[in-house]
Amino acid sequence: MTKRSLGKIFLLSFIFILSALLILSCEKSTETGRDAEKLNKLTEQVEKLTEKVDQLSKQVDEMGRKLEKFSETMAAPQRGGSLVLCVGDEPPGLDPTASASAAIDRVVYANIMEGLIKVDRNGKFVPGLAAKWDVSPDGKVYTFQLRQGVKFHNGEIFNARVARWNLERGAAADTKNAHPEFFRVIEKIETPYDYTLVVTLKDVDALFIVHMAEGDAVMLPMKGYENTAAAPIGTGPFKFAKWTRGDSVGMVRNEKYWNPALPYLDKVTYRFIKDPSAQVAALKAGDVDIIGWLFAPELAADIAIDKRFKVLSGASTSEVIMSTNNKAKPFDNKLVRQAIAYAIDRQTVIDLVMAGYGTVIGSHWPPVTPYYKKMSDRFPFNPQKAKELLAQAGYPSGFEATIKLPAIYPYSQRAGEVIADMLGQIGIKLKIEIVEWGFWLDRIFKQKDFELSMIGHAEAWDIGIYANPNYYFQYDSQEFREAYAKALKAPNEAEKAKWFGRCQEIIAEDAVNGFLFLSPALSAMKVELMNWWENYPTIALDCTEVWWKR
Amino acid sequence: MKRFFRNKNFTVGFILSLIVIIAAVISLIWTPFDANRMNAKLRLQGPSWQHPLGTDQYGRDTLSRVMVGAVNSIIVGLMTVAIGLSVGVLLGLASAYYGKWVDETIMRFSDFLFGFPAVLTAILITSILGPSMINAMLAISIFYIPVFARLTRAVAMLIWEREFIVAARAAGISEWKIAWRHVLPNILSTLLIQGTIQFAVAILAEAGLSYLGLGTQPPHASWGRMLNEAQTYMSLSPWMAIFPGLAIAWAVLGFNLLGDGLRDTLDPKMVRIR
Repeated sequence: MTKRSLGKIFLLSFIFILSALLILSCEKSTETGRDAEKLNKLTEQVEKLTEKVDQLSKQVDEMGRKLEKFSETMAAPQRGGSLVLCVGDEPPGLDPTASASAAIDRVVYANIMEGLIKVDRNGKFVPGLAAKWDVSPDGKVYTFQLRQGVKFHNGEIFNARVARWNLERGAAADTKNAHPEFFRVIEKIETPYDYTLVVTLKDVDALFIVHMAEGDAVMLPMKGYENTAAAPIGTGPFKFAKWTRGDSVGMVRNEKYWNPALPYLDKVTYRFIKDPSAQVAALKAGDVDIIGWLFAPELAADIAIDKRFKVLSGASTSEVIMSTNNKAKPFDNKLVRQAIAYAIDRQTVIDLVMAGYGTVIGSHWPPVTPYYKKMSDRFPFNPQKAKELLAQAGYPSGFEATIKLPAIYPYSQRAGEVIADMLGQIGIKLKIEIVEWGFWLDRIFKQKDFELSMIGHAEAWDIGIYANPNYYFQYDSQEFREAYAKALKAPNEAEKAKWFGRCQEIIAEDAVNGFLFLSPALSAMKVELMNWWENYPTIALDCTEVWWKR
Repeated sequence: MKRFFRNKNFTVGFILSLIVIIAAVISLIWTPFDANRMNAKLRLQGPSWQHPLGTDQYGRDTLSRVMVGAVNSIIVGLMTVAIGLSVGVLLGLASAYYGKWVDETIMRFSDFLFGFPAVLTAILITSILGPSMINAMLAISIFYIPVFARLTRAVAMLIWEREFIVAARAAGISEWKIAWRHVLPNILSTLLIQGTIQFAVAILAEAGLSYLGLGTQPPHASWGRMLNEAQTYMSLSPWMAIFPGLAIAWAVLGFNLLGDGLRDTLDPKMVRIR
């Protein structure tokens, strides 16, 4: 025997002892019941009881949370302090009027730049740079009364002329705006007074106010706008200070903000950390004060038990759907799609994929957005019914299909695995293929070369994609297109609610995609941080009203 | 057989590898639970009588998955060694026999392949061909060809000079027949030793590739993939990472010791040199 082999044997025995210790240490219930039946019954009762206790504790938690929130809103905010915020993606630039990237809005929107309209923390449209607005009875003329005394960070004055220039810039032929159609519905813009803006639309557009509240419609200064992508200038509560590429964006308090009471913080720094474990490590080490975006739900439980931190779980606007190619066989058959809808246990998907954080959905509409219609009960989990529908469609013994999952989103891969298991129960065998993001964008999104996929749709008011038969899931329904057109032309709130509701109903009934869940707006922060947005009804991480409790 | 078991390395390695093989064979017929069946109520449980190795983030039984993963590892080990061995031995024999430019070409090509870090190039190959278990096996096999080619050449060259080969040649037996009948049996033990050790290396390489998401695809169980999935749950449920990790260590150690033991008994010359 040589020294080397002795070392190996030592290592081996070490592993043996370790595994034995592990098994012994965690094994607590060594009792073996003689009467197995009794034991079974007992365990069942205990299970039921624990479930009840779980429910009760959940209720208590809920009440506690409400109380906490109430006290938070009642307490007087304290001024000062700086905040280091951690988000997942670094934006490609800082100009929201030149790119569709949501990462830009998450940094600058509502912090550095503002639009005419704002979305508040409950998803309502509230005055931004427009103090109020009126719509003419025919729904075509919008009269905005702008705030007076608003100045850009470089000293330029904001007035109706500037607002008009901004709207015209978005509609211009050579615009870089990702959504010029938001502005091209405008027929003419008049500025009868310095602070009055009259916008006449070509036709009724129910989403005009919605669009004016998005990052694409923020107000930039007429002189200092050129360098927005690198050094943005706006009217917001914070002024841009410094962008260290690959690391962070810093901003400082705007002393001349039009609302003198805000903001409470002196300094805000956005740090970009992509890896979920690294985010948590940074939070625990005190390098960042809050993980605001892309916080991994499976790590939430670990943070929630730590007394130094709190986890907020609200609603975002990102619907995670199993996108289904409505032109690919056999998914062109409505019965097959409905069978799949019955075969998916959505709450279990949330439990397994998002560690229980998330909201069940039944259609393509976030519950935090106005005109929401609850469709999540349309297809309750019922494998028996699913099998019947499948047999009716001509596939009594199921079929095989491929699901392509983008590798960059962990939730998508996990949801794919869970769904594959669930569909396997009704005889649909799914082959899982994990693909790179570039491949996904090209083959699936552009060339529509797929059967099933899995992705989150982040925008709030995007149900219009179902009216486009060339969109990647290739849903083609005259009925939907008519309902959507009516919703867009609806002159009043009641009509809007009716037709947007109808749109949600139609796609739910057709089971166009596998509507799974709404991504949670999950954030983890130090307990002393107050007034953070629990829900993310728009793509923004608004720090205006956030404050430190000391 | 007694000769083998007198060697401690061989005995320990044999037992360890046998357990892995038995677990794999049993899993073909029976596992405690369906290895791919999810159960939301049993998420992230620690070891218990029902689930001796706990459950993973989908409530799947870890013991069943470790057993199924053993099959996966053994298939990869067998296939890669088989491909590497058959192609490598052929090239090695040709190299030893023809010499000159054939030898030169084959050996320089081997050097070329050896020049790259094996795992890095395996990653390159699998990302070009697309991630799958078969592509991972291919990538590993390619690196085994020069290993066996060199070994075969070195040992075969010694044999080829021996008197009985000269005698066979004098008797008019064709060269390929000599290679097959006389040279190959004499280098078989060396190849067997190397094969066992490469088997262990293949298990490790496949686990590495699967850990990176380039090997076995979900939902199929593979030790490397299980480690990858366990990573995010390290603080919540360390069991998920410990047991697949132990399984890898166990199998690699077992086959390595087996290879060492084989060498000690079959190749006494090397022991003497040491």
